[in-house]
Amino acid sequence: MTTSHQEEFALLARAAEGDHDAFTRVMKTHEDRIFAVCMRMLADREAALDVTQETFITAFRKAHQFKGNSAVGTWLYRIAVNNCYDHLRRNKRKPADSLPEHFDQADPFATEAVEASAHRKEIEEALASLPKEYRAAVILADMEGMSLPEVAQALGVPVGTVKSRLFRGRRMLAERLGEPNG
Amino acid sequence: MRSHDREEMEARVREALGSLDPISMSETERSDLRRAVWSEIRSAAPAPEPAPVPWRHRLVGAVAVLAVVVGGVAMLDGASGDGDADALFALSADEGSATTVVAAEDGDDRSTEDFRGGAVEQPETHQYSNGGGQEADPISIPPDLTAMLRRSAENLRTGGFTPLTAPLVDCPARDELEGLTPFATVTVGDTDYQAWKPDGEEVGPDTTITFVDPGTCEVVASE
Repeated sequence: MTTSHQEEFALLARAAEGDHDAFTRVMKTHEDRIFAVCMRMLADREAALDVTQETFITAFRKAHQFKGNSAVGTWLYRIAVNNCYDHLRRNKRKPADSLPEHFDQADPFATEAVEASAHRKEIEEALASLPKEYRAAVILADMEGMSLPEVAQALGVPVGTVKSRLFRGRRMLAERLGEPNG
Repeated sequence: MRSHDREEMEARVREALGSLDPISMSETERSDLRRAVWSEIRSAAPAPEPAPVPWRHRLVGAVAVLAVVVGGVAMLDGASGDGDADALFALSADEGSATTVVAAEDGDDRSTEDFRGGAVEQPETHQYSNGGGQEADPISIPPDLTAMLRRSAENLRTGGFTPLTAPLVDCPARDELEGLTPFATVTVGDTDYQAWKPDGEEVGPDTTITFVDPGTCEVVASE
């Protein structure tokens, strides 16, 4: 366990004993990345905010169960991804039904910006169309920069399964983004 | 796909994903999130969640109700003491919550007296045996356990459970659990199992119920 992991483990242990300040520090460290993963998974800002909230509430309540076998961040990702899965099960609709906020921020008079925005939309939609297990693997590995063992811990599956999901997810993305040989 | 093609494809995908704008919360959303989290935590029962209730305590609760149910079953069936395997099934909405016994078969009234001192007489349900001529399954589920879970599944199908109120976050997606949803916790002896049902399906007489060991997320039985 690295020093950073030890510090976070200690913070979570204090949170488990009811230290709200300790948990606030954990939350501040991870809230943006957890939200980003939820946003990529759900493609719905309101839902992502709800699931992020749910993730931290669950983390606080389950803090006493955390044994330090992984980084706190990995553990939080695991809770978040599972909460996203639950949300998707509960709301069986096409995920990308609301535009991510950045589309509204682009300058509509700049051709380049419009083209870039359209391309990003295409990528967002391709990502959102992946099966949720593939999507989670791609988001954690390719967008969050997690290693294969970290992704495996976060998803609770063997590394081999992560490799397989990553390969299939990337290939589907390539196909949907117009790569015939993908 | 050739290795070179694969690397190229992966690089293109990573590049595409890397072109997406970073996502972050606005300051308002961030402060709203923190406020909502703390509001929820403070409004709930004393947090954080207490340590799990020891199995002996759960067993005490289960057996206390068992005493009542055994009598009821005996009266209804007129068949108590038929020498069938002992079975004790308890379903609960959450670990440590009130326990509801949904099925019990026992030929005598042992194990129903005083368990407060902790000197609990172990019911035979804890003596998992590989005997009985049943073929072992791939993860070596004891036949007794399989029989108990089968009976537990029958009770679940007749509605003898309290729906889960809290989301289960400890079992990640596994291929075997694809398309399934956890809906109850089943306690057999001193061990809890999660009961999963097909997504969107009401539990009924024909529902296939999958039992999952929450510690390992392994499927232990599908009935």
